[in-house]
Amino acid sequence: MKKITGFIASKVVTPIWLIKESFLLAKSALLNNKLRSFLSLLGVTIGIFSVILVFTFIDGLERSIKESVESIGGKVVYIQKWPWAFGEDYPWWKYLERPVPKYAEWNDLKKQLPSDEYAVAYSVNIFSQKPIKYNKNSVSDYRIIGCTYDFSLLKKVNFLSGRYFLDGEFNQGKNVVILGYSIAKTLFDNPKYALNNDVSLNGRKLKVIGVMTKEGKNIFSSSLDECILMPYLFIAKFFSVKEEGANPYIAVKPLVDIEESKMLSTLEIQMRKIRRLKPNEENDFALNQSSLIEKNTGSMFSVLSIAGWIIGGFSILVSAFGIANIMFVSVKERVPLIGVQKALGATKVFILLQFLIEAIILSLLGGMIGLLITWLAIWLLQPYIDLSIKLSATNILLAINISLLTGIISGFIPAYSAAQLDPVESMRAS
Amino acid sequence: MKRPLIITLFCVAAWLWLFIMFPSIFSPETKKISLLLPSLYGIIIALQFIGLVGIWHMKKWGLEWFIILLFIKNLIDNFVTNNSEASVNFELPLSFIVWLVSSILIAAFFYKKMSKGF
Repeated sequence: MKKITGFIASKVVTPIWLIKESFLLAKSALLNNKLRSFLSLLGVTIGIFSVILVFTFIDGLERSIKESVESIGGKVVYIQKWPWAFGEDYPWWKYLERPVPKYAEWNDLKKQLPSDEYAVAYSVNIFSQKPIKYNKNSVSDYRIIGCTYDFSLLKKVNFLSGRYFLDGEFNQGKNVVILGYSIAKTLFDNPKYALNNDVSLNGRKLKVIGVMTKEGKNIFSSSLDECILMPYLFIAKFFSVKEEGANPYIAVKPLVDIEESKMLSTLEIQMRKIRRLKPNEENDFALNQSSLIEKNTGSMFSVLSIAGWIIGGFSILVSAFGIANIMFVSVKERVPLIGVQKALGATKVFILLQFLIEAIILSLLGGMIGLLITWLAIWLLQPYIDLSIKLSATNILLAINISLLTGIISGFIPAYSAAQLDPVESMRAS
Repeated sequence: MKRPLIITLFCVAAWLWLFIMFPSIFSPETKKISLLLPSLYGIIIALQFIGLVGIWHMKKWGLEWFIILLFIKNLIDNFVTNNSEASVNFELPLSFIVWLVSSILIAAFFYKKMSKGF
């Protein structure tokens, strides 16, 4: 029993007591030199502020891009005339000759692809100047999306009121319309009143069957707030939808887990068949992947992260030297005290911990103030920027990590040199 | 014992290496693997720094500490970055080999001359 209590006392109680005593000594040393402590922690504060602010902005941008990619349909492949990415030595004149995807091609592709594996939609996007009217209210700068039934499978359409089109309304090209939130608000003041009313476009009456919820802005300007949705076959009656200006595309989304490469090759084969391309002929269509946008922006964020590290890293480095310097001064000042402590039986570890904990407290305090300033800066900047930025748990943990490591690294050498001091020599020093 | 020039050069080079490594442990790629991984790597780097202080002062524990931490870091690297559900592929990156060989050479020539104790 005595052995067990002895073991607990030496291995558990003593280290805890050692850390507690070291902490109290470090605290009193810091409080006795308030100005010096404050100045030395200022460097860490600025470093943490710069690094975490940059990282918070990067996180916000990344989130915004992810949401935007989802808004145009995640994992969707768009069959279009023009590719989204242009490489070097790009033969643009070849692409000019290409035909735009046609409704008949969508029909053929839909028949070729298994319906339980792929959702295939055809859509045109017309930026219209023709006013859409309700009584005296009108909107004249908006986007018309003429789509087929599968459109809702590619892009989630959320409703404030009403419903999505019925299959029959598409097939018969009925004069029905779903309004984007901003358009419904302008025309009806309260978007909820729009349902079952008739709006007019180009002299034709359209029955409002639904109003979409507010989406807000995104970086691709693909928000549905300023759009109206209509069945393709209806819009084809009075708009020239076969021209390039209508931005026609076929969009394909996998409904089951299919490898991206497999999906791309399937689409390529089917489209080549539909367009009757010979084996030696190049593709006359582009397969654009929404997921590529997210992948390509990854490298941009890496560069931004490096920039963040360079900005904040130098500040943290300078602050680490500052803390190390202050700690050396602190050791020098307390040499006689260290001598007395050692003469009274203080171990090397106890002396080392005193100074190391002092450096860690300084650094952590600096980091906390840096985090607080970052949070304040975000709070002040948020109303003026069009991006949702939040101080995430990851970044808070990162700030604590950096502060802790800066404290350990900058404080260890002075603390170790203090622990190595000779008690007799130290007591003699004045 | 007076510190040999080769150990001084080794320590300075290793400190510079740790300094360069420092930002990479907080990279987005590391954060994506696990939220706690940067903290773990951070602790290892701090302990390696402490080990180098020990080597600088010609202490045996410093060299032992440094070599053990090299292995631990490499082990973690292999487990978190190269493994799949089916297998774990052990890789020996160039930096690990360089530091391990230099540490072993230092140990071969100077370990006996280093002092025991803290």
